[in-house]
Amino acid sequence: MQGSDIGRDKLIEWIVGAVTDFRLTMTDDTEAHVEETTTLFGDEGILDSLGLVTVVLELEERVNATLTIPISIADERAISQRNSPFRTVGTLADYTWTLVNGAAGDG
Amino acid sequence: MGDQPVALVTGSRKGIGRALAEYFVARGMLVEGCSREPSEWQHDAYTHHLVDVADEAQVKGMFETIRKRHGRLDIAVSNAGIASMNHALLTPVASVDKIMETNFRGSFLVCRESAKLMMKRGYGRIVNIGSVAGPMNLEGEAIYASSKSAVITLTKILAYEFAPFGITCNVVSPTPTETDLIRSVSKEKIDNIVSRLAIKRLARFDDIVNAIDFFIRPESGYVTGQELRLGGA
Repeated sequence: MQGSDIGRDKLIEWIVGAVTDFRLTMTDDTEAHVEETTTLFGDEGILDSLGLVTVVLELEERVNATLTIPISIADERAISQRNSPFRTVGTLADYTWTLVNGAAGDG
Repeated sequence: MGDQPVALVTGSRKGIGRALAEYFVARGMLVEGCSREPSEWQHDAYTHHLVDVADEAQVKGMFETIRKRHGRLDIAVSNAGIASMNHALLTPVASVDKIMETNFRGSFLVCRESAKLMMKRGYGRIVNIGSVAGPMNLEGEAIYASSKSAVITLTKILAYEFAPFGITCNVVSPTPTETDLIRSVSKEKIDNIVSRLAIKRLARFDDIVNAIDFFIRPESGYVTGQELRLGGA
C-alpha cells in the first residue's frame, strides 16, 4: 500500500481510538472524550509515559500493517524536535503522516 | 493462533540456545529460534529464522513473522552472543564493535521487540544471558565482560520500564560452559576461573536451563530485575 493512501483523518481516528482504549482500560475513565486538539503528553496531557508508549506502539502497528516499508514513529527525529510531535492528537497525526509519506516515497 | 505458549530463543542453532529450545519444545511450547546460519536441528514445533540479532530490520522482520503466525509471545530468551578473548592492548576496535553489536545491541533489540508483542496480552517473561566474566573481572575478557555487564544493567532497568505491562526481565549469568564460546580459551585459564567458583566445575546446559526455567514460570511474576549467577560466582 502507498503511504498517501492513509489520510490524516484515518490517523486521527486511529490515535483517538488508541487513546480512548488506553484510558478506558487503565483509568476506568468512562467519560473519556478525545479529539484532534486533545493534549496527549506534557502539561495538561491526558496520558502518562506508559500511556504514550502504548498509544504510539498501537499506532505504529496499525500503520505498519498497511505499509510495505515499516516506519518507527518514536525515532530520533521525533525525540529531538523542539516542539514534540507527541503533544496533541493532531501533532501526532501530522508527524506520522510525514513519516508514512516519506516511507512511500522511499519505496 | 492457539493456547500453546510461544517462546523465542536467539542463538538457538547450537549450544545453550539449542538446549533451551529443545527443552521448551519438550514442554509443549511453540518455539521460534534464530541464528545467522541454518539450524542444525529440526522439530515440528520449532521454527528457525536466519537473523543477525544486531540487525534491526532483520530482528523486526522476525517479530513481524511471529506476530502474524502466533499473535503472541510468552517467553523470550536473548541468548545469542559472541566472544573474543584477547588482551586489551591487542584488541582491534572492530572486535569491540562486533561484540557490543551482537551482545548488547542484539539483546536490546530482542528485548524491545519482545516487549512490544508481549504487552498486548499484559504478560511476558524475558530472560537475558549475562556472564560471570564481569563480576569476576577476568583478564583477557575486557570487552566481552563489558558487553555482558551492559546486558545486566539493561535488564535491570528494563525490569522497571516493562513491569507496568506485566513483563518481567531477568538475567542468568553462567560460568564457563562447555560450548564453542570457550573452545579458544586455554585449559589453564578455564581451570583458573573454575578454581575461583564456589562449585568447582564447568556449567552444564541443564544448570542454565534450570535457572531460566525459574524465571519464565507464570508463578515468577513477582521476580524481576534479578541477576542469577551460577556456580556461586
